[in-house]
Amino acid sequence: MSDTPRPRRLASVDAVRGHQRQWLDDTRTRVAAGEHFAICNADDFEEIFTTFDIPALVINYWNSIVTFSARKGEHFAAVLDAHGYEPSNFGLGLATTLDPAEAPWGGLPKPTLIVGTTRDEAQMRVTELWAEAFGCACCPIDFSWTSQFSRMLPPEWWTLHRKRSEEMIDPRRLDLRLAQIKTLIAWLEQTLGRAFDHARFAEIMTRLNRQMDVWEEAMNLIATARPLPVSLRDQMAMYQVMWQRGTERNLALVEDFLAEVREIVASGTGAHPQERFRIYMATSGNDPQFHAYVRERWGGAIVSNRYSAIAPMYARDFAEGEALRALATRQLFLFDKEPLWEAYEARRWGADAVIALQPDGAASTRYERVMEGAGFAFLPLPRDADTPDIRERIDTFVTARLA
Amino acid sequence: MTSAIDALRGHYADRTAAARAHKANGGRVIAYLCDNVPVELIEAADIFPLRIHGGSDVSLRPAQRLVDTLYPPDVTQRPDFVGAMLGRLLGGEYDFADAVIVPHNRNAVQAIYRELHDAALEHELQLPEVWYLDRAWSAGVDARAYNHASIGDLRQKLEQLTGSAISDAAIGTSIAAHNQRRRLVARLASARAERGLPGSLAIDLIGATWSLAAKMANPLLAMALDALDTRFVFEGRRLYLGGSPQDHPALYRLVERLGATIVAEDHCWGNRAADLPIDETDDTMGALADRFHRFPACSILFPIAEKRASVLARAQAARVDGAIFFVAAGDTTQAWETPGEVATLRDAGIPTLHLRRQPYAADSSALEDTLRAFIADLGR
Repeated sequence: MSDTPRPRRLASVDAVRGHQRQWLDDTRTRVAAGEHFAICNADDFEEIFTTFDIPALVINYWNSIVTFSARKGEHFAAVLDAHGYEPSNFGLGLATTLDPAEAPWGGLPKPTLIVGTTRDEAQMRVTELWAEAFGCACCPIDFSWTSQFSRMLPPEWWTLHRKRSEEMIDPRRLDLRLAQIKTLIAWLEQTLGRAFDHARFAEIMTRLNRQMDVWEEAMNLIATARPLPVSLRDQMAMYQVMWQRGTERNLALVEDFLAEVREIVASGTGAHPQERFRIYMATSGNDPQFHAYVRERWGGAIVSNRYSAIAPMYARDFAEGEALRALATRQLFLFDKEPLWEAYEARRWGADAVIALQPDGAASTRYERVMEGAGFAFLPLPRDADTPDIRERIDTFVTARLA
Repeated sequence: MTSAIDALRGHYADRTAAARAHKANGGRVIAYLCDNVPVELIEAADIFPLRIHGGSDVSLRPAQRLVDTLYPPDVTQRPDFVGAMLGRLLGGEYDFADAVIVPHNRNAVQAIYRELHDAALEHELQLPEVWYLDRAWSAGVDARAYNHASIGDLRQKLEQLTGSAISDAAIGTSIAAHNQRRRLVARLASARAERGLPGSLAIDLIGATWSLAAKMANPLLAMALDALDTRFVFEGRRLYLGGSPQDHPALYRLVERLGATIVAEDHCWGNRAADLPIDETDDTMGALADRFHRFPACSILFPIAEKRASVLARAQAARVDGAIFFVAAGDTTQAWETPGEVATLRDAGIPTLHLRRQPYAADSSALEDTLRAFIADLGR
C-alpha cells in the first residue's frame, strides 16, 4: 500500500462541525434560561419550530452523533438492552436520556415536546418512551410511507420534487397531514402563548429552497470535476446543514462551502491523489471504513452515496399561502431507496462501479440487475468494515472488473 | 358424528378449506391480513372473508428469494410470523381469492402491499389483486375522518368487484352476526378466566372463526361452548400471555405440558376477537368505520400508557398467577411495548417472565426449560 495522505478537510466543513456543537451549547443555555426546546424527526417538523424560534433537535442527527462522533453506539445499545428494549439506531437518542451521564456533548436539555411519528411502530413507540423518560409531551403525527408501502411512485420520481411533488403523494394523506400540522401549530400557539408567524415561515421555506439550490450547485461541481475535489467524508459531514434548514446561519454555511468548492475546482486540486476509477455507494451511511484501502491499494475514489443527492429533495416550490402545504408534501415523501434512481446518480457522478451492502447468500438482487444492466460493475458487501475478508472481496472485484 | 369442537378444530387445522369450498361453489372470497379489516362489510357484499395466517412450518424462502432481493436490506424488517403469511401468499395458497386486503398496520404487514406488487412485476407472478386498506393511527378527529373515508373506499371496491350495491340492511345484518361472534368469544374468554379452560383449545376455536363466515362460525362456536364440561376447573397455574401474535398453538401446548395453562392473552389470534362490538344503529357505515378507527392496528394504541392499562386489566380480570411475555425475534412493535407492560404487571404483583427474541416455532428446549422454571417458581 502507498503512504498517500488522507484527503484534506475543507475549512467550510469544519465550520459546520463546530457550528453544530456550539448550537447544542447555546440551546442548553437557552433552555436553562427558561426557553423551550423540541425534538422531532428528520423531515417532520423542524421548520415549524424554527418559525417559533424554538431550537429543535433532529432525532437521527443526534443518533449519528452518538454513533459516529461520540462513538458510543455500542454503549447506548447496551443501555437499551438493559432496559429490555431491542437495540436499534433509532432508539439511541432515548438511550442517552436513560443514561444521561454518558450522553455526548453534555447531553440534551429537557424538551417541551417530542413530535412523534407513525412512520413505523418502532419510531412511534421510541418517541413516546423518550417523552416519558423526559417527562414531556409527545405529539404523534400520522405518516404513511408513500414510496415503500402504500402507493407506487411515478417513473423518474426523483425529477419531480421541486414542482410536481404532489404527484408522488396520496392527496387524502396530504390533507390529513396538513390538518394535523395545523392542529399541532395551534397547540404550540396555546402552549407558547404566541402566534405562528406565517410570513416568517414562508421566508424560512424560501430560504430553505435557496439553501438547497446552493447545495446542488456545489454537488454538481463536485460530481463533474476530475479528480474528485471533495471527499465523501466531507460531503457527509456537510450534510449536517440539513438540520436547522432554512436559517440564515445555515444558508451562510452552505454558501461558504460552495465558495470553497469553486476554489478547489478552479485550482484542479483533488481530494485523492489519484483516481483510477470511481465508485458510487448505494448506501445511506458515512464514508465507508474500507475507503482508505480502496484509495491506497487501488487508487479508487468512492465519490458519492445516496445522501449526496437527497438534500435538494428537501426543496419545494410553493405559491403564496401554500408554504404549509409544500411542507406537508415534503414530510410525506422525501426519497425511496430504489436502484433506478441510484443508477441515475451513479451515472451523474461518473462512477464505474457501485457497491451496496447486502447479506451474503442472497440470490441475484434487483439492485445488481439494474446496476449491471446500466453498465456498472456491482459489488455486494455484507457489511461496512475494513477487514481481511472485505479487502479480499474488493481485491477480487477490482482485479476482475476494474483493473 | 363430529362434535362442534372437532369441526372447529378441523377448520383450524385446514384454515382455507371452507373458503375453497365456498369458491368451488361459485362464491367469492377475499383474503385479508390481521384482525382489523371490517369483515362485516365483506360479508355484507356476499363475499367470504378469509383471514391469512402463517405457521412455523411455512417456508420463508419464497419471501427471501422473490421479495428481499428487490430492496436494500434495511427497507423492511420482517418477523417470521409475517414472513410466513407472505410466504403463503407468494406460494399461491391464496391464489383462489378474488382479492387480498393489506391493511396499514405494523410496517412489515403494510409493506406486503408493495412487496406483492413489485414481486409480481419483477418475477411475472400471477397473484390475486391486492387492495391497500389505509388507516391513520392517531386518535384525533382528522384521523377519524380519514379512517371513515378509508372504509367508504373499501365499500366502493367491494361493490365494483361484485357489480352490486351493498345495502345498509345487509351491513346491519352482518354487524349483528359478528357482534354475536364477539359475544361467543367473550363467553369463551369468561369460561377460561373462571374455570381455566385450556388455552390451546381456546386458540383453536377462536382461530377457526377467522377462517369461517360468521353464519358458519357462530352456530359451531355456540355448540362448542355448550358442549364444554361446566364442572371442569383447572387446578394448575393460570397464566397470562402477552407479546407477539401466536397464529399456531405450540406455545399454548408447551405451557400445558408443563402443568399450567394460558387463560387470557393480548394478541390478535386470541381474546382480542371479542373486543369492541359495533353499535347496532341505523348508521351502519358510521358504526363500522368507528370501530375501524378505534380498534388498534396490531397493538399500536396511543398513548402507550393506555396499552399498558389494557394489558393489566386483561391479566387481572383473568385472575392469573403469572404472566409470560413472548416477543418474537424481529417484532419491532413488541420490542418497545413489552418492557413497560412487564413492569406494569410486576408493579401490580404479578410474577412476569419476559422472553425476548424468540423463534417463531416456540418449541426449543431452552424455552421449555425457562418456562418450566418460571412455572415451578409460581408454585412456591
